[in-house]
Amino acid sequence: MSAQIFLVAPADADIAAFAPILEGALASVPVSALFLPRGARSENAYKDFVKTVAPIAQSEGCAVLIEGEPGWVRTLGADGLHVFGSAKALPATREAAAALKPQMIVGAGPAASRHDAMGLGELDIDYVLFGPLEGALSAEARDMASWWAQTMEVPAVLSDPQADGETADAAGCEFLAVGESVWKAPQGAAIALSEIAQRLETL
Amino acid sequence: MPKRLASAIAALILASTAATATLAQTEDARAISEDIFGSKTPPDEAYGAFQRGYYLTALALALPRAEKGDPAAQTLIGEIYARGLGVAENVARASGWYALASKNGDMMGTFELALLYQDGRGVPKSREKAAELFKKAADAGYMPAKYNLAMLYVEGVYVEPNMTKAAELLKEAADSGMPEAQYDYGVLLMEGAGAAPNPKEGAHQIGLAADQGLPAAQVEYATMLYLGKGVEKNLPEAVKWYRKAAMAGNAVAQNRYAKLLAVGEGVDLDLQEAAMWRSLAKRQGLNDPTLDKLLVSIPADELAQAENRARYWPGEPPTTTADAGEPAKAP
Repeated sequence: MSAQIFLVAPADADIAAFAPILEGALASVPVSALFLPRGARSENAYKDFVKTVAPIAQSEGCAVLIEGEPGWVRTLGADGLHVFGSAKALPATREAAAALKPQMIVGAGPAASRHDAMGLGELDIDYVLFGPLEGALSAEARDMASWWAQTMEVPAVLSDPQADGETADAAGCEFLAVGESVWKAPQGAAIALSEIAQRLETL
Repeated sequence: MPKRLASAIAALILASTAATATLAQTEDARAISEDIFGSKTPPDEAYGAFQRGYYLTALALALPRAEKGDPAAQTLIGEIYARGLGVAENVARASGWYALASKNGDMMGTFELALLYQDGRGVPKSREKAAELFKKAADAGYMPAKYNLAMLYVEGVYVEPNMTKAAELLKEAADSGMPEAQYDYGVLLMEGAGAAPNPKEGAHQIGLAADQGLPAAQVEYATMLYLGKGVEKNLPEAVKWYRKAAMAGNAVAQNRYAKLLAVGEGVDLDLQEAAMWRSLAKRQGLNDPTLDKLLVSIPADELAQAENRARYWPGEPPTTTADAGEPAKAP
């Protein structure tokens, strides 16, 4: 089975400009999950952003993951929480899993080491994230994710912010996280995303 | 199928030190080898800590190396988690490290992972996967894996049945000194399965395994000495080996030793001693009407004493004279 797409929204997306682009992208290919990083937004601005964007994604059958307090997931109408960090994310991830599972999704990462990944994976969460959400994916992070996918039962999300229709490769992981390259693509997000989706199907 | 975990761990430690070309099994050995050879390669500090029982130190030292892809460190961490040494036992986590070590070509890691798949510990049970990994570790030259692979060829379910291959692998493992392999190879030679029958060599191999303390081999070897099969008949020697295995808790050996004592064959007749060993064998579920017949004439007080001794075996029952409440009975 080919890897599913885990889309990462820009950390500085402006609601009005982003909504139509997202709509187009989600209409072009099936996307399993959309993660909305908080970035430098204020709490209120972020909450407004989530409230506007979540229904767009959910109408396309895409789960919406947010960043922040576990309590925000239900109040903002999201589907789950992503806890950022590696070893330091353990307590927050445990708390989030206790508060939200099994109805809601909880994921964590990016894992900085295999040891950290195993610590996170044992918290009964839905996925462990590997690789950065911005910039270049290192070979080490790719190897780590691939090993995780082969060995562990908790699904792996491999983030390759620079993936495109030529290079996208989930390395055996259940999900490939993309974003940066999609939003910056000269051919437009919808086309860039469908190129990645096609590439994943051929692997 | 026997699990080779204990010897695998010993081999793991051996191989890790062998890899650095020193046999630094103990601090002394290391000091000596450093004196003689000079310290050309730094000692493996993680293994050093592991061997001294400082498991958390070993883990802390091995983790950064393991993250960078050092297969020996990865196997070491697998070992720490699989056995719960200084950490909570976590076989799933161990399997992850073993898998990584295996991928990086570590034969011990491959072997340990095979055992986990074979038993379904920390990973979904898969005998097929286990067989594949045993093959891989055997091909890399790991003797316990050769032994396990040989057993798979005998079983003939997860690899194609092949007694010749089984015999070849067992011979290799036996020659490396593994008692289980010596025993099984010996049995195979006695029966002429997968190799030309050679009772003399078979008996020799089983004798080697007996010498190494494998109770099943001791029983077999004793029987061969008793029958003069592959070796010259030698009753006192047969008694010696039955007794050894009986002392080690082997029920068959206890039963046979009891019989020899009951009829005074190869050993002085001693009904009380015989009854004690019968009692110990019975306790393990081995009932033997033939032995019961041999002991039918034992006096009641002898029998009572024998059973009392069995109750305290391998210790001694408390002496009645030590008990001030009851007067000591005259014998």
